[in-house]
Amino acid sequence: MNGWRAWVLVLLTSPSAALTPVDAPLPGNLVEVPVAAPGEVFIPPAMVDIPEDKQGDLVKLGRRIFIDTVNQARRYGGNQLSCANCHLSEGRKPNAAPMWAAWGRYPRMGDTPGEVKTFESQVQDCFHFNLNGQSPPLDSPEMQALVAYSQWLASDAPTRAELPGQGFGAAAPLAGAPAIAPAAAGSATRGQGLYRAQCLVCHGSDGQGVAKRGGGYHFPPLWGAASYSAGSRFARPAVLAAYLQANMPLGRGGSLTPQQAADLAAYVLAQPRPGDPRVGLMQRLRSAQ
Amino acid sequence: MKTSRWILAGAAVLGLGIALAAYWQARTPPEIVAARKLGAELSQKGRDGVPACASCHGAKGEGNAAAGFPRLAGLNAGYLARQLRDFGREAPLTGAHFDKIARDYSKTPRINLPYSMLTPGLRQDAVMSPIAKALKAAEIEALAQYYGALDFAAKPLPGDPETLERGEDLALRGKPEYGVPGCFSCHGQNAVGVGAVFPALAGQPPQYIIEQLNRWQAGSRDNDENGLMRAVAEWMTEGDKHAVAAYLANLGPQAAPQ
Repeated sequence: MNGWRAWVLVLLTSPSAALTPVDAPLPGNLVEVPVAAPGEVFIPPAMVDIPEDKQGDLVKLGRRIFIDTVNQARRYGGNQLSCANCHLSEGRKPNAAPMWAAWGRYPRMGDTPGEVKTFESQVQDCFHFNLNGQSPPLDSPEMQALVAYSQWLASDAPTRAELPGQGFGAAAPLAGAPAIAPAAAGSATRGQGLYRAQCLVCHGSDGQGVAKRGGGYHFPPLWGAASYSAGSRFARPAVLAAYLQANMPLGRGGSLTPQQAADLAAYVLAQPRPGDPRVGLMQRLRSAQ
Repeated sequence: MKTSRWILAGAAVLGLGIALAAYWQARTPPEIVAARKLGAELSQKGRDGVPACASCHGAKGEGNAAAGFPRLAGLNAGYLARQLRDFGREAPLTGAHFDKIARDYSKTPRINLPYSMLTPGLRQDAVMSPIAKALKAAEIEALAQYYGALDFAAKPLPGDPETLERGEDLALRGKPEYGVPGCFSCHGQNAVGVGAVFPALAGQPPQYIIEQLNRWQAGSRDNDENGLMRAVAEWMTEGDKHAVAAYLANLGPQAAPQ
């Protein structure tokens, strides 16, 4: 940040630079932003390569559910969010928890001792905590389709391996990607200013995003009754900050510093959102005292 | 008997009230109607110093696919007004000359504090800038209101299936390995536009879309929010531009979701 200010100062005060109009406007600054390096990340198969058989049909159904969860998996959804609202580019974008990297990482140890997390149970958790809905049963067509879609995206991807671009990029950062600071303390006040400058264009001054006409969101709500619950992993400041730094603003991932991402996460998480579904009303009242 | 009559009368009064309220809500405010009238006159006839918009953009604002003049009909009025203001703005005097950004995409520096974050934004064009400078603020508003209210239907253009397939891939998914989002993620489902910031792309002439992407890359158009469009354009190759422009040109406002 200070770099470009110094440049502008030098340019404006240098005597040789007389005020001459130029046809091309100035580049804004001289900050280089590292991005996901192509060639380093796994590239999932293209849509036209979906096989023309029953498995292929299940993959197509899975993709439709993934991008339009509101309408295609209505009976399990609680709010209007879709998978693709956070798993960007239909679950393909590196560092936005891509499905091709997630598929090969299960089953694995869960958070609690003795717990084994399977891919299906992770999908169930997503429905429960992020979509504020019901967990689809293992044999439901929705679950089978989502599993088929993820498996197809991970065709030929190595399993049981740490892939570059998996998760939010914190575990295996790409070459040149910014190192994510371990949970810098964010300030909601600074975050509010940043929100107004960088996020308000899409997510709105009230953070409620922009809804699609047929249900669902173009730009998802960041807080309030329509957003994900406090039981979501996204309600943890460090996780949200890592996601923000890797992916936001859309198309300019990596442009926020770790501190800025932590500030934004602090601001977003300071707003009201649905409670953790595991915590009952009485428990919440008791802990509020 | 008596009671039901009273209920009927109450329902009738209530229905009338609701109809009146709905009419009052739905009616176009008179100042907008006046603005559209002024805009219609100006767009068809022009005035001294301002040629008629219809001479290039078509009688109903449908654009000119052969010449690459964009369609204006049905675009967001706020977007149109902002573009006219940006066309009419003078580039500020600066003391340095910067070469245009190199076309070698692998070596393109990622410029990350866009000019538009410091200034209201610039959009320069040899034809449009003099016209926009001659327009008054009220006329800009009138033209925006007029064209924003026009209907538009896209005419299908012939296209190579492989190009269209690649274009659809870019429009829906972008280039995730480069961190580039698809067009639809900001410009709305089927690129119908979202608000005054993200304009409709459906049915725009392919030459126009390619030319604008070239200008984002070169820096001669720099009036986006937060440098969002510039960040996307920097990663587009000539083939990408061609494919996505061909796909978007064939999208009508009522195109079916994929």
